Amino acid sequence: MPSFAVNHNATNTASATVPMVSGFATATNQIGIYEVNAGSDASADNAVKYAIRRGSARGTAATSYTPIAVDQNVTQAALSTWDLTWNINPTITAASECLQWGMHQRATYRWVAYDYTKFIRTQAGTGKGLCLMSVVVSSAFNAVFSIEYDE
Amino acid sequence: MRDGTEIHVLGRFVPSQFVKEVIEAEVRPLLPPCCRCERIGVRVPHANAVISPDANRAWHQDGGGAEGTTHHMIVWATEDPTDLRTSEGQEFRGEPFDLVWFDNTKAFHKQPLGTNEHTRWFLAVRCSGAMF
Repeated sequence: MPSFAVNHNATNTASATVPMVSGFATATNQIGIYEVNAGSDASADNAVKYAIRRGSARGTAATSYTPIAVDQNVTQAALSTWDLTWNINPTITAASECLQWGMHQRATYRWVAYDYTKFIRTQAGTGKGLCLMSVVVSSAFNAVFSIEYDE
Repeated sequence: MRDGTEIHVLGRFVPSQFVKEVIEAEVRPLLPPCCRCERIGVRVPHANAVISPDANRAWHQDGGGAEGTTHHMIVWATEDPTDLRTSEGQEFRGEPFDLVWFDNTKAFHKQPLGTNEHTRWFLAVRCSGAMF
């Protein structure tokens, strides 16, 4: 069960329909997020609320991200798919927040699962995913994320 | 059908400059209040633009249609406007520069065949209907 990192920068314009990043399992793996780090590489006074929601279809990606193995001994590529932009956006399940937090742009936020059983996990399957959403932001700014997960 | 419940032409929009940020700023006041809250996705034509995937050129609903959070959409293009099809099967294509709203839970859409991604400006707004 190798661990991977997804490191992503994005302008965090609020949207209920377009994620900042989405990760989807495949038929033979499931995603289990155990750590989320969030901040910004710019300094200004803005407030933002993020959420990780479930998704039920990957959509058609325009740009994707290749996860990086946390352990250098892991030579296999990640099985799950992580997308950053879409031609056809993914299907996001309404009111399915697994994690939500508010923060200030000058602050950093870190969430860590305190136990293996507390991972934010999907089932295995191509229609099983998680989507990072910017729910509300006072004025959009460049957000920086690092998501650590196993599969 | 132009002014039906599934497809509605909001009007004609010609930006003062063909610059992504200018288009976003100038089109936002023309959108319904809920759509103004959402991000505006502008596809900028450029020499290295890749051909859209086949899925874009087949009838589809973004974000899973009624299953997802994308309840309605607005599309706009400078040439080859998006093809739309109502739930009753009636097809519609607006004029270039038309700002077209449609119900993404009922209507389907597709990118026309043969669009020139080196010259075609396109924007889409995907809205849940929520005000935030």
